[in-house]
Amino acid sequence: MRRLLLAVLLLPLTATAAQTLTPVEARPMAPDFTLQDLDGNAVRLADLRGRPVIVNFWATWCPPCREEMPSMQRAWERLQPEGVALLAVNVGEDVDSVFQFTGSYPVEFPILFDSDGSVSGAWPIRGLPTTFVVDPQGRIVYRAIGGREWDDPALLQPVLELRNMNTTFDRPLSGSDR
Amino acid sequence: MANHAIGAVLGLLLFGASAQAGVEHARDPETGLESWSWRVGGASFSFNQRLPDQSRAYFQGRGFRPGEAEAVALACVFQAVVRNDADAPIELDLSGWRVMPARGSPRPLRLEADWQQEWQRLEVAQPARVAFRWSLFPTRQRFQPGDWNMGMVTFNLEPGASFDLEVDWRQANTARHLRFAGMRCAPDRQL
Repeated sequence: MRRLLLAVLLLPLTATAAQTLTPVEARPMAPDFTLQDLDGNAVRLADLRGRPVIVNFWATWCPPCREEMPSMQRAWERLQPEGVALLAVNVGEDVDSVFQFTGSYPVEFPILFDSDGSVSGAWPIRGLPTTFVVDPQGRIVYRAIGGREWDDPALLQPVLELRNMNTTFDRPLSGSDR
Repeated sequence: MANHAIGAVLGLLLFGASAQAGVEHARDPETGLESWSWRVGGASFSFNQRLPDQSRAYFQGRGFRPGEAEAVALACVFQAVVRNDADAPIELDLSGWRVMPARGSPRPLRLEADWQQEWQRLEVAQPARVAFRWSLFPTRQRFQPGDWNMGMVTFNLEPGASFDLEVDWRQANTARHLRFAGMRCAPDRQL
């Protein structure tokens, strides 16, 4: 009886809706940037023209940012062979803090450093994490505010479809669309 | 773990009836920290107490000097979580929210821009100011279906102070209002 009571009471707290990416109707050009990765190499967004790019803004002290990192790594393992790039732009932290973080959250996609916040200030971001999908022409076409389970096919499929650039933007894409 | 969950449920049962209909109040049996949450029609708001000590440690860890971190820690910090699992966008503007103290006159929240003016005057280091910007809940935000966010809000009251919180937002272009009654700032104590 006690277990039943628990289950009933906790159900509304744990239920989640289908995950979505929000289409960005205006499709503005993504502000270009050149940032250094963990190894000190410069990475320029414009150099990735011709393929879809997921750009994730995050910080180690942001709980939902940390929570979505493992699923982002799994997504990258799925997307990288398909020609999709993924960049995780750390906001305002130093290399040592992030290097320590990757000991607990190992990821293989590039982590870039927006140390002075100038790049994150140029993108339409209000909170962390915020993730954008940039199409092969360099335009922002999808946005997600807050953490996601990024290895969900409902999120990956629209990104993969951008390789063909035949995507329409009538409504948010969700798991129920497939 | 099971005791912890049962305790949390009992907390909901014991305190849930004290606020406006639909607002749930809970107390963590382990930490004693309280939270107030509301969820209807796919929109949800949650406000969780943060101890001043948590904020001291957090902001000093982000590069603030002790005196600066102290100012935030004693400003009644809550962790806010807003989710939109509804079918229509939700728009928030925290500058319209009001704190109604049990003693004293109604007042606005102390917003990120207010703090940044202070940090500029005190010449707080740029990395700390960047971290502060992203740690606070955005003053204005539009949540599309599936979006959510969490961040700190500061109610500018003393530790332990009681107050009601008046929350306004727009959902599907309709103005909505909610009063979180009987909220309390966390006391200045250690866990």
